[in-house]
Amino acid sequence: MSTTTLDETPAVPQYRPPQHRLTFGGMLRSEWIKFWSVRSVLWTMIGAVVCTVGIGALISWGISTGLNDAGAREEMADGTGGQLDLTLLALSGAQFASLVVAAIGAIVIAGEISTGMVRTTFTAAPRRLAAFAAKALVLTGIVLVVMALADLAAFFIGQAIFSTTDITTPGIGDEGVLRAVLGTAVMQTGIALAGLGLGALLRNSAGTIVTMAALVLVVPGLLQLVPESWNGDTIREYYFVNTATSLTTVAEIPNMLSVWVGAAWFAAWVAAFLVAGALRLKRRDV
Amino acid sequence: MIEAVGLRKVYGKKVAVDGLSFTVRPGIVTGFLGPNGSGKSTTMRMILGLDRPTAGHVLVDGIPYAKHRNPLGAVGALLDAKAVHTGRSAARHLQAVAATAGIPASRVDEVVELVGLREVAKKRAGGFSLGMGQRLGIASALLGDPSTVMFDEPVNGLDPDGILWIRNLMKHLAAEGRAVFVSSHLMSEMALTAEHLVVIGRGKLIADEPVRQFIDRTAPRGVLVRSPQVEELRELVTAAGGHLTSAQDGSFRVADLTPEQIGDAAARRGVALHELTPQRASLEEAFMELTAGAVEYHAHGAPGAGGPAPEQQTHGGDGRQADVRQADVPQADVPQQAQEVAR
Repeated sequence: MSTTTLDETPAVPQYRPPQHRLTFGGMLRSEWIKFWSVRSVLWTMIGAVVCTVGIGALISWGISTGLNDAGAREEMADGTGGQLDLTLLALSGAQFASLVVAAIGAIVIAGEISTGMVRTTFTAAPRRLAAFAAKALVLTGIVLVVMALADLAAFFIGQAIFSTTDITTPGIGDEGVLRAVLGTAVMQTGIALAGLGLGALLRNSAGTIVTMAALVLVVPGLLQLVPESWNGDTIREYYFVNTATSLTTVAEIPNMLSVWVGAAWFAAWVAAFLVAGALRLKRRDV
Repeated sequence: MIEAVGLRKVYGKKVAVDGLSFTVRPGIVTGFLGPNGSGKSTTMRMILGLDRPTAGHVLVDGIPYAKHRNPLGAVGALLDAKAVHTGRSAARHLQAVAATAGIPASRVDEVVELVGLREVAKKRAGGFSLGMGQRLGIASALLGDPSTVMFDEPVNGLDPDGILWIRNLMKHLAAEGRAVFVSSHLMSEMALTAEHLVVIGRGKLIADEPVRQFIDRTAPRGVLVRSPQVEELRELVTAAGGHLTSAQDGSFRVADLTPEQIGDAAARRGVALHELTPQRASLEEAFMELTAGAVEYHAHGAPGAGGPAPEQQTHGGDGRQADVRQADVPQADVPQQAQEVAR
């Protein structure tokens, strides 16, 4: 009886939280902090740079020793349509590095999902597509800048090594050279983004990395076996990583899409990976 | 403030949460109780939009959580200690969360200090003990100074000091006018902290009411009486229509009489009483009674709810077996509320 007054709604102070606001800029900053604060990502990033510069230098050095031998030079040139693309050779390491950056894309999303961090991320930023877009943008910015610098370094180191021989080395200002070098960085960034999309789809770092290795390294080789009667040339031309071939080389490669048509198709492939991953991420319980 | 309406979640063929409706009000600590696997964590994830309800909806301060412009200010959640990247330091983790809403670095330092993680803030969260992980989760929940705080099993892995600390923290947060929603399987802990209870079993609502009311729904426990005049006591109780059973320590338990009736009768007869205590079920006992049929995983696979009552769990054989049996089938006597909301 006497408790009726107590049971009435007591005078609860009206609580007002501080007026913070979730913004896309905030999500970008958050992703930036997250990117640089996990050691595995940092080491993989360093690995990609070392791979680009180191393997590029090693291969350039190996080739330069052969270049002093006229016979060997002709033999090497034979395989590339009679013309040795020293830019491409100096960037040999970048081809391997593209797989390493794919791993970065995979780790930043799949690592977040597998540790459960994604629940914190989506609690802080419940607009999942925006959060994923912020992650993709940060990855794009970092990989593009770092790999462009690494690719430029590999180019200059490679040419410095080639210049010890009597062959004429390309300059960065020559037609198509800067485009090929930066195009390589763009290709690597695209593959990192594909790794991000696939990571969101498969939700597992190791699985994503293995799948990316197959898509980047194994499948192109297998496609070589497709006979012309099955439209082998067309399939090879339009296959994911092959579409970026011309973008990353100075000389046009026969039977491949031209630079900008190829770049557009490559962008479409990358977008497809990202959209698939984004849809999975949006729909799934985490 | 959380309002759940007809929440339902189905994983494949398993119904994890079934037509759950409840309200978590500001200004009090609301306990969320249920046996393991009863759908508590799933419900909490649905509140945050991490899991999508199969049916029904849940609002936070009137709108879905995902629609909030300041989500960290709407709900601060400790879901489980694992919602952290193991490779990242506690400080960086909190900075990343804070950055989304432009919460200043000073607030990060504040919550780190508040939960007592200052010394280990630079260490990788993967190396944290369970208790440190809980503290990090609580720090993360408090970052946005939210109007609703939601903790899933917060005292897991905390030492007694930590438990006392979080109990006071929750009361303090509620006193500031925030809604505090906390799940726990530690009844004694809940009895000390919560004013209101949301109880579920097998994903269904069993109770949404004040703690006291929940306890009062259990079978009557009688009155504990102590007297040096045993024979007179026995007579007067029987004469008044009560039933007296003796306990081991020389006291007696009287059923079917109120303390007033016993005291008045004793006074009229001049019988001295050294103790006269109405017996109330503990929250734990109440919980066991009212959820017995709703327990997901019995130790020895008793039949599920709806079937015959499980094997008698005799509590000291004090003649209230019939009551226990009745309470073992919660659908029979329980939730008017649950049925109302189901319509």
